[in-house]
Amino acid sequence: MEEENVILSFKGIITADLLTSVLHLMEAKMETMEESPRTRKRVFSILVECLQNIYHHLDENPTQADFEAHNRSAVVLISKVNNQFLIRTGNCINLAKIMELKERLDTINSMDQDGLREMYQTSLSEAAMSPKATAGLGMIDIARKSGNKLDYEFLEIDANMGFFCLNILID
Amino acid sequence: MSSTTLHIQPTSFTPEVSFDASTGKFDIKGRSIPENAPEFYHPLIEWVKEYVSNPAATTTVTILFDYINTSSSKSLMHLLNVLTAISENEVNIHWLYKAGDEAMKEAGEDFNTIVNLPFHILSTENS
Repeated sequence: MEEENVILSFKGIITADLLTSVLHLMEAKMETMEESPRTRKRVFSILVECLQNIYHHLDENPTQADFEAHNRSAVVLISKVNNQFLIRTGNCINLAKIMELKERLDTINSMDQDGLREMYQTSLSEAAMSPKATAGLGMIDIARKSGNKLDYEFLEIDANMGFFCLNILID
Repeated sequence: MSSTTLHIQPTSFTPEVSFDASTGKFDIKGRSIPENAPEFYHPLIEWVKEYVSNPAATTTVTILFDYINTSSSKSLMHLLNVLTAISENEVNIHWLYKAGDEAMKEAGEDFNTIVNLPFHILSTENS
């Protein structure tokens, strides 16, 4: 039987301060859990990438309408399912960006560990050539560290906005 | 004109930095997981750009991370690339990781593969 224990959950507007608080809180919580340092480090670094990814992909110039429509909101749920950590995130995404993201995630999911390492190294050296380029390094890193495929889903909200759900099971 | 030393105290999301232009010893230690890594690394990169125009006889960069996020990895790549301006046999990168910290060992191996500088990847137990 599947047993799920929620460790931390959050729903609301994502700000830089909030990211910091969630990370501090999660770290403190894990210190009280009987987990190996290796597992703790993995969960924490994957969470860092997940949250920062969401934050960086928010529209840079939100309108009042964005706030009213909760376009800058996200949900984060961290739990343990059958003794494995599961991080679930959900955030709004412009429909126009979905195809590109889906393609990137499918490419990552088609790779084994060696392929991911090579892809990560290539993206990292390219990113350093043009520091502003978002090479999707975060997602590759998450896939590498989790040891599992990125389980995702897109839901349609309206003609412009979708909702991106990402589930990361951590080995 | 840059000063001869650069010191930055650690925070819970950014590392301790200690650069000395007169000895050529550069240390970066701790956590590097800021949400905006370019903001943190920009002054370091500018400082190193000045340094490479008149470097010490040998330059030793010692790096020991507990955590590094991908945003910091990009900035660190940029910083290390600046150091490639110095002749290869005058620069050494000592990438340390705590014994058993496979993730930080792997991070060092990634940099070693893509940065054109001599890397020594060592567990803190053996160094």
